[in-house]
Amino acid sequence: MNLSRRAFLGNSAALAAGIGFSDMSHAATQIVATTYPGSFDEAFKGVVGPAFAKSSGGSVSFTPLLGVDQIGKIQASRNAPPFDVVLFDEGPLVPAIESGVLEKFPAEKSKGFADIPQAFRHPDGYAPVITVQLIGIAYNPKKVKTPPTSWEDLWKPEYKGRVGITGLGSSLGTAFMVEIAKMNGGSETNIEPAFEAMKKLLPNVGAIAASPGALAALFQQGEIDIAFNYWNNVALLAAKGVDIAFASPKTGAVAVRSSAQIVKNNQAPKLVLDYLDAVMSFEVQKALEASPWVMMPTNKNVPLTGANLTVAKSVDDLVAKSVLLDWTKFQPLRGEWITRFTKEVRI
Amino acid sequence: MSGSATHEPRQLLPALPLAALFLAAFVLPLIVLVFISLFRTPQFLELSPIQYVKFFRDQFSVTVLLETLLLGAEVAMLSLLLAYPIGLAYLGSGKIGRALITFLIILPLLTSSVVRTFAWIVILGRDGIVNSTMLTLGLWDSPARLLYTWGGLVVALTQIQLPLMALPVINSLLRLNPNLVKAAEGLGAGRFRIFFTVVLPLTVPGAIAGWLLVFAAAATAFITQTLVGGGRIVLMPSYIYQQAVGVQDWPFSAALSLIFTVAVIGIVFLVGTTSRRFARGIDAV
Repeated sequence: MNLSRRAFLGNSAALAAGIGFSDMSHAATQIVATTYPGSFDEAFKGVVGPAFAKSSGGSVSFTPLLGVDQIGKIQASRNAPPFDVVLFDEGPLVPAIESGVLEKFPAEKSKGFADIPQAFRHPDGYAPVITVQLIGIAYNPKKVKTPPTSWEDLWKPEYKGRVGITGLGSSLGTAFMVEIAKMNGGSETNIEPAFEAMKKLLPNVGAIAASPGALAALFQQGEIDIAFNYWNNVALLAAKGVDIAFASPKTGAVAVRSSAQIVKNNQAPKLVLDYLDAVMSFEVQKALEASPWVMMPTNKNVPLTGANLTVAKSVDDLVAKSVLLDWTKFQPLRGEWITRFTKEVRI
Repeated sequence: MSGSATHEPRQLLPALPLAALFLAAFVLPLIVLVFISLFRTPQFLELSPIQYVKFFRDQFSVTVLLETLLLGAEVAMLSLLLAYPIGLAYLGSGKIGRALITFLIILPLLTSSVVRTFAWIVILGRDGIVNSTMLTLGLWDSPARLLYTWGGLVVALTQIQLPLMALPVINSLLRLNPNLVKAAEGLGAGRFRIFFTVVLPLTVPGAIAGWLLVFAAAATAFITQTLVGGGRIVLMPSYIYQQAVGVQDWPFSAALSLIFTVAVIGIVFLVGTTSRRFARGIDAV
């Protein structure tokens, strides 16, 4: 049953790639890696896929999935997992490690590990961070004349009905709530002040988006003028001509570290390591950093260019001035927070 | 199934593949769902009916269920109101007119519901067609909020699910004996009287079939509910998704799924049987 699912996945990928069934005989030349739906997926297909094929001779099939969806799928088939490499934000990485579906990273065999700064290496030896998603304030520069400087700006009465928010199901909403809690006397584990602050924000809230992507799209539709959001979403929309700009709050933008992790019992450990090395390599990260992807690199040798230079001078600078949260502290509380947010934060 | 006694078993053979698929892809997972819902915690440690108690004691959860059923009912009623004029227009048209109406009804079914939903985002948005028209005509002073509202969701779902209502209604209008209408006319009944005393009662079965289809489809329309309703309108499908994927509380989301399934099937059953009794009552008169 598991084997056939595997073969099916491989086949459909081969068919999609237009190489028919010839690939079936040597299945170990292909690995399956997950990406996040949207621009992340496009960037990985466009940049990482070809680079990995060139450096290793293998091929990779990408499956776009949200972080939390992946754990269940691997758990359902531990002995023959449907993926070899999975992508996690810091939060979902915590239960993924706890559930024992991930393998540690063989740093000594890796070619790219030396270029990854300490802040992007996993304290318990799992695979390192491959990109960072910065969280700051997105705003419509045509409507909001003075660029916001603090999270508190969202509470200004002049933005009545013009603020957008999204729930705690995403890293975005969670990081925002933790920052708001900290700002109001709470902490990474004391979220109470954030919920109280949200109640006061409600008159300003014009829309509650179902996801971070939907929240960014609200700017495009002119539904909102100001919201917390990912730097990447803002940069991509701004490049398309949407009236949207990004400001880091004075307390620092929050950096959410995303890592590609090795699945236990994967089919091709050598290829998996080659894949991770490819993702960490200077060439790949440089291409991902460039337009149109503008993904933040974690390889310290990659210089920041273009739009990325407006938020940090270099990878070291990014590490120095961003806020890093300890997701291990509050990830176990998140389920409760998500439900509470849905119940209490309503307009 | 009441007529099955007259069938030879061999006649049922062609239905076996579908029955097998139904068993494997629907009944078995449903049994698994029942099993999962009976665990006390997400760690699957101890059996207990606590998830169901938790649901019915939680006012928020119960409200989400009731609002979802209400949404299905509202969309089904609105489609019903729209389907009869379409059906009567169909009846009164010639060959080409009928073909055109059929084509227009089926057209939306040929595109994915995601595409249809996005069209509604364009129509209802702040800079959308409705708002820009009303502002240009000077009828509104400022853009109204239409997207992410209950009313917007009902209208969008109605358009998206309307074919499910229009087709059965047209079908039962076609089966209506035209002589009955002529007889009513001959006896001096006006148009409205003919519609309410002859046409409507005799086409109730088609209307009920359409109502049930639209009700079930609208109440469970995850994509449209999420995209047009947004994060502020919480309905059962997105609540189940959130509890399963976001919170990772499988037992509670399994219980939610089962309660929702039973509620929808219950209403379909209830409406189906009472309306059939009602239809039989009309026959007796």
